[in-house]
Amino acid sequence: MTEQQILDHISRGDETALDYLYKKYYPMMTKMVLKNNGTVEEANDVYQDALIVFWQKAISGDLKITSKISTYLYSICKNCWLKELSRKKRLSYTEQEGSIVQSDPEDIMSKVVQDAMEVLGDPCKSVLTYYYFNEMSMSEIAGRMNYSNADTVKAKKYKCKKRLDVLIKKNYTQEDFFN
Amino acid sequence: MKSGDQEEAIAQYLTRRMSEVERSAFEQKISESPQLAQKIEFEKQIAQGIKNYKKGILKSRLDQLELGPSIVETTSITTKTILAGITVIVIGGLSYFMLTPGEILVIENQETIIGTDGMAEDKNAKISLEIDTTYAMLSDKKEDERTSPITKDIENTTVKVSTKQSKKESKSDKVILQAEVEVVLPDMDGTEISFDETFDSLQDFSDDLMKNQAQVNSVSELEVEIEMKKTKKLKYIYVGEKLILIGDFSASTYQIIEDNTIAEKKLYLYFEQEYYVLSVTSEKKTLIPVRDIRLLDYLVDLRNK
Repeated sequence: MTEQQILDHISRGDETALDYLYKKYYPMMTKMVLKNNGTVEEANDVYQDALIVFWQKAISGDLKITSKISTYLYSICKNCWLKELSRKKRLSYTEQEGSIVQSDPEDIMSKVVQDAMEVLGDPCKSVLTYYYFNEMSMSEIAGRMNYSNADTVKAKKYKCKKRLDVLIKKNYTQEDFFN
Repeated sequence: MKSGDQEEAIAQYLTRRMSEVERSAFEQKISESPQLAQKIEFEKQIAQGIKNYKKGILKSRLDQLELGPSIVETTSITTKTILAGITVIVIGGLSYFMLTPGEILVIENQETIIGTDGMAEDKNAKISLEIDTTYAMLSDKKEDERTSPITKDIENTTVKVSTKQSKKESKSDKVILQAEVEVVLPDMDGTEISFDETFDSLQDFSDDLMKNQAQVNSVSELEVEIEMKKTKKLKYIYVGEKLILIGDFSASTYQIIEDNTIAEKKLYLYFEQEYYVLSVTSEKKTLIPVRDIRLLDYLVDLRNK
């Protein structure tokens, strides 16, 4: 598969292209982490994160790629690993200082949203992920999900978001008060 | 602005659907309204949560992918891999000790008879040895930090092995076992032979041992590493030819059973009277004992052969 073909597949949201890329560059990307004091688990994690950043940029049309995919992916991977190293360093410093590591409010919120999404079920999950993650237009979502037109998607998205808000507020308040 | 309109505007702002002009105008509104700014901050977190949700799905998808053995490249030699090397040698050695001539080597699952194929035989061939293996080097306290608990477990293991002596000398890594294996020969003439007296034959024995270990290692290039953790839950990672066992494996010895068929290679772990299937996984996977009776029968047979 040529690089352009890969990018075409991604732009169509074909997740098999993600699988293809993952396998193709697995040794190269994980090796970088392993060679820089990372464990196999960290290497996998960093590579997956980097690949998803790449995927999200490519799928949302935000990718201005001027080099080979591997070069671009490698630089994202490297940044992700540097970020992880600095996070680990901060964490170890905090532990040395004896401070209590508290959960980040944003992490808590993210967890609440993810749980709410699970409860929400389909087709709302798909509509919202297409809108917020893939950043697809209403017409594109309509085409993908067999809705008659963009307005139908807009109404559907609105209802789904309202339902999500209700679930989040319910759980987020509980988290706030009880944890 | 109606509530619905404002929410739509926030969503468009957060997902970069606004034109430059619309964006500037909206940012102006945000700067003038702390309430709107707060609302945007909240919505931003929800948008991020939705993104993370999708990321989680994609990551699970990637976790499920089968990575072929050639995908993971061997990393540079680190202390861990040296330790893993030692562990593999010790397992190889243990496998050797536990087998008698004519037996089928489980790790290979092919009829590799431990003995002296292709080796010049001595007239005193087929000496039965009772070996009290004391791995001085491995049990040395100075090595504590680097020595796997598994390697310690085989200290003072008494096993019986029949072997044939060979004159053929191997120059490979004699050092490792020469001085550490204490061999007590059975009473052939009523006297116990001391270590010094048996040095020559011991050296031959060690050469053979190394050769057979090499056979074991060359067939299975599996690199085993123990990540010691004082936890009851045993986990593992198995990618490429590297197996990482995570947990407390210090209680007893373990065995890796490799079952090669034409179609595929399967790996099993035997530890503390339980059998475990080792499937390829790049993520930590919990070891779950085999409960399928047919598979258990098969594995018991395989191991007992």
